[in-house]
Amino acid sequence: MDYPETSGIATSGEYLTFTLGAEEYAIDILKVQEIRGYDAVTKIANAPPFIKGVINLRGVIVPLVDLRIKFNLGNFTYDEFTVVIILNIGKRVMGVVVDGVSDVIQLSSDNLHAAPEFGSILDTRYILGLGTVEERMIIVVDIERLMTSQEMSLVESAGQPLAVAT
Amino acid sequence: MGKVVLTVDDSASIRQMVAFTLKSAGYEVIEAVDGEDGLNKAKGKVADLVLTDQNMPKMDGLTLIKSLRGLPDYRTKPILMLTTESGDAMKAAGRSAGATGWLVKPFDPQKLLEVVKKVIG
Amino acid sequence: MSIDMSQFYQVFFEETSEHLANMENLLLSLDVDDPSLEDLNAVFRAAHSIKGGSGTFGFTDMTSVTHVLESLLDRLRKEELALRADMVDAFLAAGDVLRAQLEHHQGGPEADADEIETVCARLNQLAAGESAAATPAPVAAASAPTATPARKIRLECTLPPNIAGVAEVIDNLLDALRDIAAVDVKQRPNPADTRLILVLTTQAGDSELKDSLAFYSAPEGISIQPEAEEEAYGFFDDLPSEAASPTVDDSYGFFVDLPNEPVSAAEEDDGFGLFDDAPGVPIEPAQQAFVLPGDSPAAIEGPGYGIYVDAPGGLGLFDGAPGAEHVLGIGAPGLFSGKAKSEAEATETPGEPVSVGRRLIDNPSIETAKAGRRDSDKAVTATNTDTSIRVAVEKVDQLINLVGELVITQAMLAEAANNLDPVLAEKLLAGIDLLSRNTRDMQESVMSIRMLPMSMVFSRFPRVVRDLAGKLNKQVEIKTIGDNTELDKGLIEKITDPMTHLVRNSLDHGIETPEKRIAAGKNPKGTLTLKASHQGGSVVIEVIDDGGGLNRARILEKAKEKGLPVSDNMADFDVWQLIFAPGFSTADVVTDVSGRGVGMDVVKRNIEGLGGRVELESSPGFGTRTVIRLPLTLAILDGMSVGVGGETFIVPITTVIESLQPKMDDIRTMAGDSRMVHVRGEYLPLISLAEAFGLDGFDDITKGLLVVVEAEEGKAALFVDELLGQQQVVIKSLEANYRKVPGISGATIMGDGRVAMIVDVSAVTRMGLSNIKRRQAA
Repeated sequence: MDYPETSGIATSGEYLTFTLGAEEYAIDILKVQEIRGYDAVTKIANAPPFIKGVINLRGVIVPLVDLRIKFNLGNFTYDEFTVVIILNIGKRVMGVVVDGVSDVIQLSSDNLHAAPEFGSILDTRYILGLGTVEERMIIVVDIERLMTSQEMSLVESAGQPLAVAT
Repeated sequence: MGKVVLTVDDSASIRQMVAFTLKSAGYEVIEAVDGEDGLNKAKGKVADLVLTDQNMPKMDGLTLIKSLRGLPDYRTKPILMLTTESGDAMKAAGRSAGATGWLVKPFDPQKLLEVVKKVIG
Repeated sequence: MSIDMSQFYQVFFEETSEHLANMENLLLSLDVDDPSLEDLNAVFRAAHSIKGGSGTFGFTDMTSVTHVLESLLDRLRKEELALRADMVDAFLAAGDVLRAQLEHHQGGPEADADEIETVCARLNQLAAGESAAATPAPVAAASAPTATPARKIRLECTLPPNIAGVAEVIDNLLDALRDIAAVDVKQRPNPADTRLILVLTTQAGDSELKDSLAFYSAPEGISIQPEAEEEAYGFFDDLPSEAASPTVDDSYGFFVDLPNEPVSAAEEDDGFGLFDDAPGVPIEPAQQAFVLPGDSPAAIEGPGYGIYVDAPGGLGLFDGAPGAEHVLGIGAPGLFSGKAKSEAEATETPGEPVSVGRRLIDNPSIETAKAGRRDSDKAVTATNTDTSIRVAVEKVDQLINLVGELVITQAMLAEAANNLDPVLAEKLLAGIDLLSRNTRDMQESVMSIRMLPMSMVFSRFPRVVRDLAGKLNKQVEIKTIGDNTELDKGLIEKITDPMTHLVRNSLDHGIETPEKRIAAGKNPKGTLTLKASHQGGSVVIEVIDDGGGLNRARILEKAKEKGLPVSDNMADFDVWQLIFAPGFSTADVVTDVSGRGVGMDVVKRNIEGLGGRVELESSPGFGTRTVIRLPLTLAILDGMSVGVGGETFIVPITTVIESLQPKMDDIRTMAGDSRMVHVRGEYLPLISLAEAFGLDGFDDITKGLLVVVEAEEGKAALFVDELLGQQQVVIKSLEANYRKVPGISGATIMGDGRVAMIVDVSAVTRMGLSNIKRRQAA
């Protein structure tokens, strides 16, 4: 298989899956630092609505993105089940708010299919492929590319790669 | 082995170099920052060899040597002057102060070891 | 065993910078007409130490310069020459050159070769100019090839085997050399030793010599060392003969008094020789300093050291285990003193070597009293090297961060503990109390690691002032007060430039020429005072001159020219602040010292960038005082915490003038619903932080509070919901993981663990002002 559009980073083959609305997503587990609950967020002035603000992660100021807002999944709440995945992207630490974390799965490139042109809330640019686990379809996200993209406005000059990119 | 060398120099870098070199060769090294300190430390633990710089604040090398020679413990101990001044006046002064010999700065670690070995084995 | 010398470089670098700084201080404080011998000695010792260290660690360019420097200093301290002002200049210049060389070895740009040459030539000239007898110090060819007088050098050249045996090739080589040097052949290559050894008298530099031999040997194969002026060594013949040292092992026979034939230096090719300390034989350090009596076995090897054969301790070398008693007998200093008497150089009272030492030890007061500052400086240096460790700043910063976390954790614990029953949790609460005390102490001591004394900044100014005053033909004395006031390392580094600017300004525009000063009935010598002190949580640095003061009329005139909003009845204080406006200069003459009016605005911006403020006071005819107020550290900010729309914001205290409860009457709504507030006779733009940051704050002005701030752009009133308190906060970067946020300069973590934003007052004021303008335009 050939995925010329991926950021080309070797993966462990292990993925963390999480849900956003009705869809299930997976990200490379090597990018995940930790998982924590959602609390005590400080708003950032004049930031887009999906940037919830910053939290204090043991002395480090970490911005949080609510992917549910970003992808217009209405009908969400912030409660004790709301989960934040803390990511290490390049040298940066950032968090994403999701509906829930489900599992760690093994996926080899053989189980991955090319993403269809449409049908997902996520732009295909950020999708590495589609995998299937126990009859469930899982969308494998190029989380690094997504988080550093211009539309996320998390980094100063977007499009500027934080790590290796093709 | 285990012979004790007292190195007296106001220059930390030289002192470090000397100490490191001698320690690597198995000597025990006591460091002192000037003549006064050297004299005190010499009294504290009798060294088998004293290496002293000449130009130092508080007490210079020659005075240190003379003072050491006045101590029963150091009457016959080898004392080497490390000096950038290799003029004969300095040597005569060193000799009359009671120095065993001198080593001209700059010297390299090999040279230092060579001379130290000759003096105390 | 091979030892990596580079491991000692760092210590050498640090120690050498200390020596250079110390040397400069001493030179600047020298009284040229009556220099203190102690000070000259100290300067000599600094140069001498640098020479020794640089030679040892292979920084030979520095060795060359210090050698020349030391030679002249040596003559001064021996009072063979009288100190002159131009000598001090030359010494200072040599110090600069050495610093440049040192920086080069630490990875900096290469030192200016011309400069080095000039300085060495100057020093040589000073040493030579005074007395015909002065021996011109040898200068490394690399530094001053042309300025070098003819020198005598020893050249050893290892020739490739294929040419080493060909006599014509050697002759050609020698002919080539004879074009530039007088050649004395010491050894032609032979099968046993393929080196060609020559003693040359030449003006050519090392590189020139190597070039002329390039055809025959690679530069690495050529060694060039200064040769002694005299080749012959004298031997004592007035010393007691062999009988005096009968126990020396016959097979060695290292009797200094043996009437051996003089051994010429050139015959010491094997690299060793037992040196006999005959007077009158000048020997350069690099040269072999060890002469072996003619037929002695090569028991002692290597150039550059010597052992007095009859000295105490020395015999162990020669006769090993047996003869311990002999050693004792010979080793007795008394024996030596007898000999020493015959030596002209032995000035000390022989036989009483101990008393000399004792005199110095027993009488420390003489030393300390005379040595004054030098000694204390030295003592500090010595103690530092002994009791301090050098740690990377990042490690300290990491520690500071961790302690910051600890403080927050402790605060969280304390808050959580509030809900506990004080009786049941008595022990726990006591523990938390103790913890909070300990954390506070710990934070304080950790922060103090980064603190450095102001003397680090002040110390550079005596030199700056001296050079500038000379250039401007002014007489200026510099005074420093509060050298020990401590300031964060980051601030220390950043305050130097603005201060230099202020000092230049004071000298250029402030302090008058001696003529003018005399005419004004003042001391022809002006005084520049640098002062540092702690005031509350800030450090106050003052630059004070006793010059002519600022000219109010001229500043106003200039301000009008520039179109600045001024009026003739402005308060003095406000007039003085005008000179911080961009491009403002009232100098009659634009000089190369403080330039053309770029400056004060930059100074102000720099200081504000450090979270500080700068103010001016001036009084015509009496001088000017510039006052800089800085926070103690860059990592911590004194903040006023305010609540806006449920969020907490920190407003830097340095920007806050006052806070007040607005009355509806004071608010004026301008065109396009922008608001102004009337405060103490001024209309200030009213900026709602809630609006600025897109939050839901109070709408009713009278329910909230106004914080009057002053920024670069002027004053403004920030409208907030409530004041929460004042506290020191640790500044954290938002950009590390996010991006710059307009109106926010950083973030911090509050006691409850939440993040609070630090308001960038300048930016917010700017945003507010532009909003107002936009609305007015609309």
